[in-house]
Amino acid sequence: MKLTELQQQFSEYLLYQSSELADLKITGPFAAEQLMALYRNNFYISITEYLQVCFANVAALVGEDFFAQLAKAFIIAQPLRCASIEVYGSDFANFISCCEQAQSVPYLADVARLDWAVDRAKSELQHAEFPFARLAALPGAAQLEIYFQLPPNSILLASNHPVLSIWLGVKQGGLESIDMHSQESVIICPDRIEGAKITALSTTQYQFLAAINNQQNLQSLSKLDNFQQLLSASITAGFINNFIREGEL
Amino acid sequence: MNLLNSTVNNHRFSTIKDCAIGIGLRSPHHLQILTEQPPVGWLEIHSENFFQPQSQQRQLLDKLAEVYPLSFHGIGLSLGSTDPVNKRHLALMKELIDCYQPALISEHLSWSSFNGQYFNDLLPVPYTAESLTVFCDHLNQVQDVLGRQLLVENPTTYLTFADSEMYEWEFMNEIQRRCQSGILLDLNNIYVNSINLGFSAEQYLAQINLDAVQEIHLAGFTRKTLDNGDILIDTHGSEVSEQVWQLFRIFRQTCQAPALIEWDTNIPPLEILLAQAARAEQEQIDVLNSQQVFA
Repeated sequence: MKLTELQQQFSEYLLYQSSELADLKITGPFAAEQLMALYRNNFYISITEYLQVCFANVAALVGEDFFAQLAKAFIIAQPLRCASIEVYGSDFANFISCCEQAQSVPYLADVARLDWAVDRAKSELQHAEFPFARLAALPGAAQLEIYFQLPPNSILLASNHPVLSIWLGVKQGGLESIDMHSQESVIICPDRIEGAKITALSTTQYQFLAAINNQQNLQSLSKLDNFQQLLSASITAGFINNFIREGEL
Repeated sequence: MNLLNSTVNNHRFSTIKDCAIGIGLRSPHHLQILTEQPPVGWLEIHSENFFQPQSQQRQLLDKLAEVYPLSFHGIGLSLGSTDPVNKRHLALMKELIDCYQPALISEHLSWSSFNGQYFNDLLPVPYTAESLTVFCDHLNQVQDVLGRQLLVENPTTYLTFADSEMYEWEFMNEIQRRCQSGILLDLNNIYVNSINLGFSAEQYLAQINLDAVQEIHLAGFTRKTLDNGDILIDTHGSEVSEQVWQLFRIFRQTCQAPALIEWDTNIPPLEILLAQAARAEQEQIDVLNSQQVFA
């Protein structure tokens, strides 16, 4: 048997696309099905364990068995396409939002989005302080054409559910006091000390930061109500830590 | 060894000393190792965990590289696959290696991808002439790009293919001969395979090309009960077994390659790893002493 055929059949068995093993001519201390089951289990378990670390609060909300089912369905639907697993899982939240079995927990996808954002933020080194001197050196007209930037790997999340309260409730062991009809918006930023900093945002703050993410320049932003106050508070909190000029977009 | 006294020079290490005992660097121990700088001979990282240049992981590695000799152990190159070598993955690995110039770089005798789909596992290679050609082609490409020699680690396999044409040690030796690569010999893998697949671990050690072995791995396994009996699983989740210590004592009589305590699952407090490293030190001192007695 050619190596390509062997690896194709082996792969198909792992992915439940085939149950045919005879051509592989497997020998060993146990039946071929039992030996291949070790590899198949290890494949799903290792990726599930990785997802469980990335999506710890999703796992805590739904329990180990349901999470394993969810992860297995995701692994089959969206196979790992990168040699390094560290980038896998970016679409897990969207998968959950479309997953029929998960519809009974309507906020689950947003909790997954928050888990993922925290996980990504933790891997980022955030050193940049806002470059006030560079901004001051620009002529007034040029200042109006700058675009503010959120720190790399920062994520804005607007949810129709009290996502941060639920996320914190899962970590702290209680969801009883949460108003499940409320809505919350948050920003997740890398943080030198905590790894990731999660901050609840008012609707106005969220809209302001979303406008920055949508590449509205300073001239456009300055027309918003409370612009000065929002800008100052956002820079102080570290939600904005850089700017670029028109030509650098 | 008093590592701290020898590392005050602000430089990185290009070699790992013979018989030096290292430990695998795992995230639960990052902070403790950084602050306490325990006197281990070297550290081994999983390369893929440090690919992102602007990351907290890299910041940590910058600091540790000033204190410890490093070895980079990869799990994603899938050298035994019929898929071409993943150029993006290789480029990331090259950037990492060029940045830190680790003393040793290693990968596995296995495959983990087919047709662009990855399995996050080290899957078994049939020991055939075709597999050998595929593996060596890929290994040569990687060594050419990196400009460095790679060590190839013997795998754990729970099955064999009837089409295999040679023993694993013959396959390992032939890779080394064709590619001028090195060998990373995992004694736990040899023991686990010897029990599961029914061969002599001592014979394996006697047949492997001793001169090519530049690193040794020591780890623990788990016993799993199937319908028809027990099978040993290479979990790297427990202390090194007495049987593997015995293999280490045998192998140390003839091989001075640095050895690593590898622990990947159910990761214990750092002190347990350091105690295992201390035992490895003691085991090799005992071997050395017994050789002197009989000299």
